[in-house]
Amino acid sequence: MFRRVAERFRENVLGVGLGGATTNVYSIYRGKYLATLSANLGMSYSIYNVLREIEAGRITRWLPFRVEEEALCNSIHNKATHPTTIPQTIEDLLIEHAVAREAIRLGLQEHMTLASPLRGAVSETGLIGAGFTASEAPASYIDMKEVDWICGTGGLLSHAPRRAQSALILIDSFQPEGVTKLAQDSIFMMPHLGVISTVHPDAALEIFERDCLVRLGTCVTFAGAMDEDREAGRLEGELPGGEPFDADIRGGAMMRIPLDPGDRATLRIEPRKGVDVGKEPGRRLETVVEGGEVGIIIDARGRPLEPPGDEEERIGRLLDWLQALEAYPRGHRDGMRDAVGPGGTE
Amino acid sequence: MSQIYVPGLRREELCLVRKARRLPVKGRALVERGERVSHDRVVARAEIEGAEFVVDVYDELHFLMPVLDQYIFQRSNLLKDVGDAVERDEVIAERRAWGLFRTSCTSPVKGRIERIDIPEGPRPTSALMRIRTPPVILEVDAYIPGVVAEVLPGEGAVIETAAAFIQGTFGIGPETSGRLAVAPSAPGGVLRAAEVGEEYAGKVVVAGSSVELGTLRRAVAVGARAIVSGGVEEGALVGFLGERPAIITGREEAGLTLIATEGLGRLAMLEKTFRLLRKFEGEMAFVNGATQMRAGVVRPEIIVPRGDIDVAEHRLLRPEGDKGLPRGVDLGDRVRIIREPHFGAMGTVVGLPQALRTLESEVEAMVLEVETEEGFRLTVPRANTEVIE
Repeated sequence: MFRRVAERFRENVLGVGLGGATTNVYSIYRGKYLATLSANLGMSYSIYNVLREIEAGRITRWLPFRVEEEALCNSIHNKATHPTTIPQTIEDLLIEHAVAREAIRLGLQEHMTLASPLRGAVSETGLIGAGFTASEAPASYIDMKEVDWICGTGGLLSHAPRRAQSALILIDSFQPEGVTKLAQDSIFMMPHLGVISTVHPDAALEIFERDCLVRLGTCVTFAGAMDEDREAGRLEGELPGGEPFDADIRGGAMMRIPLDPGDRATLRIEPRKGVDVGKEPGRRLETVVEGGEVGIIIDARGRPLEPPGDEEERIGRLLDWLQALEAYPRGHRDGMRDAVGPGGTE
Repeated sequence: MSQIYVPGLRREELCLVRKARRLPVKGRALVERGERVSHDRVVARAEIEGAEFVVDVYDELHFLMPVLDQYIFQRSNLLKDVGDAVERDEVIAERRAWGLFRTSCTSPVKGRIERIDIPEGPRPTSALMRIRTPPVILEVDAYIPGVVAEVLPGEGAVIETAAAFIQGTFGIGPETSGRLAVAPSAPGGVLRAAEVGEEYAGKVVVAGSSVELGTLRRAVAVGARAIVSGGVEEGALVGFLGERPAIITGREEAGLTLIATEGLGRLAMLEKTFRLLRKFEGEMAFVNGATQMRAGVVRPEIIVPRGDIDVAEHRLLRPEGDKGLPRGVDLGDRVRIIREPHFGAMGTVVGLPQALRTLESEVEAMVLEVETEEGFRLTVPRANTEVIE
């Protein structure tokens, strides 16, 4: 189905199918289709395999609360031995979402390794990869600034209680650059539509657009090394109906501008020197962005994205980001600040 | 009424345990239907033909210039004939020149000379010796004492026995056996290394809510066969194995089989499980840590054959794999909660609301209401409970 999306919109698409047992990453980049399967990474049966691939700290770095490593590992293993259980608490949900970020990141890493030019192939500038060792292999041909869409499917993404959660998972794991549209599968029907599309492509695409594809919004990234709390740039624009808005964008921060699905807004972004919003560092960008269930997401956390190593600072930052997107309900347990977002249950 | 079937782990005081014992490759069944077998009786055997190694004797002995007599290969250069056994590095052919120089050729493997290929004629220009390594013998034993219920031709046999049968949640290590010994710290305490003495040699030790890394190492040192515990910390498991356990387990060679009846963490053993294990203290138990969650669920198991039950009565028992017809959870059922925040809590179902409920996580799910043993009333997703059967 990701391929059909790319054909339909004639744009570059990166997609992930995050399942219970496997993680598939797809790219349709400048007409080139590539699918990779990480057969051991998943969110239920294979959730413990994610932990087998990385240090537990890679997971805790996404958690806005303190957790003992032992307790975290026990909890993830118990999910694998009881794969059909569901998160009852916010903390449990956040742990699953943290593992999801790492599963996608690992799947993407594998994908990027394969999405590289053939070594020994002749390019205009000579032999690609000639004389390179394995560690110096040519980088992926996928330039994140050129990726127009990032799409996600799979039970965890489709059934996330708030759309902002899946948007944030996709952003944190793919780390898009420039201006990128985000979408997800509504109720995990994409694999089935993919099969239908082989016999009824038009019908499948129609169902896909009407009932399956949920437009989450557009992510505008301020990339580069970011000075925390220093200005990263300035944003101006007009919402539908001509309503103007403007904001100073702080380095290390996130911001959400509500914009409904189907609506468009004009943005004029003035990044500070060294900050890249899609063209080149420091260069102004004027663009029209599409809305979605979450809206416009301004991500000024820089690239590559790495939450602070200090626990106190990390918790503070993560809570700020989650709150900016109103991603999770109110937390009321040890270590979590009282307000993560509005509308939570007590 | 809509229902969700929530399967639970089996904990039976008496049931019919049937174990199909199969060779991984075609072989020969060695038992007869109706035969009574001990747990270590070999029920099937297969021989995998050894590998063939070809030694170019002519080349090895440097017959490069077939002009002089000393350089003409003769059958007498061979020290071994077809059918002879050879050891690794044993000389199988040699050449002597004028009684001064000696060149020899040795066998690269232990085996038997299967064939010698030398072309006809007075001045052969090649000589190959084909050596076959000994066959690999594969055997499968009965694992549990019982009666051969069925012979699986070329594969093995099905062994039946009346037994107490307990499934755990997670385990490591292969099939083993020993007499059940209940540690004083069970069922609620942590089994410490200092409590593991020589008296646990050859035993299946029933621990409490958890075991420490030192306990596992001490158990190996004294020669305990297995530990059955309510839980175990992941860190202890990783320290013991030297790596994180795989998703499919049972082949670890850590010197001990470990079964966590409830899961990972410090978790008191379910009362019913502990009661059963204590009841059979001193009896032989046959355990297997193999666990698999994908492509067919396999849970670790503890089997205590019931010597007091007559073989003829086996037929009247419910097989261990038969959970009966799936049914929904019902009011009054005993359930265990298998996910945080109440992981391990036991209780009775007192409410089965029909409508979906929004959990604290904002996930919408079918729930049930449980009154715990401590008197608390909890609302938990049905998917996060298991029925205690």
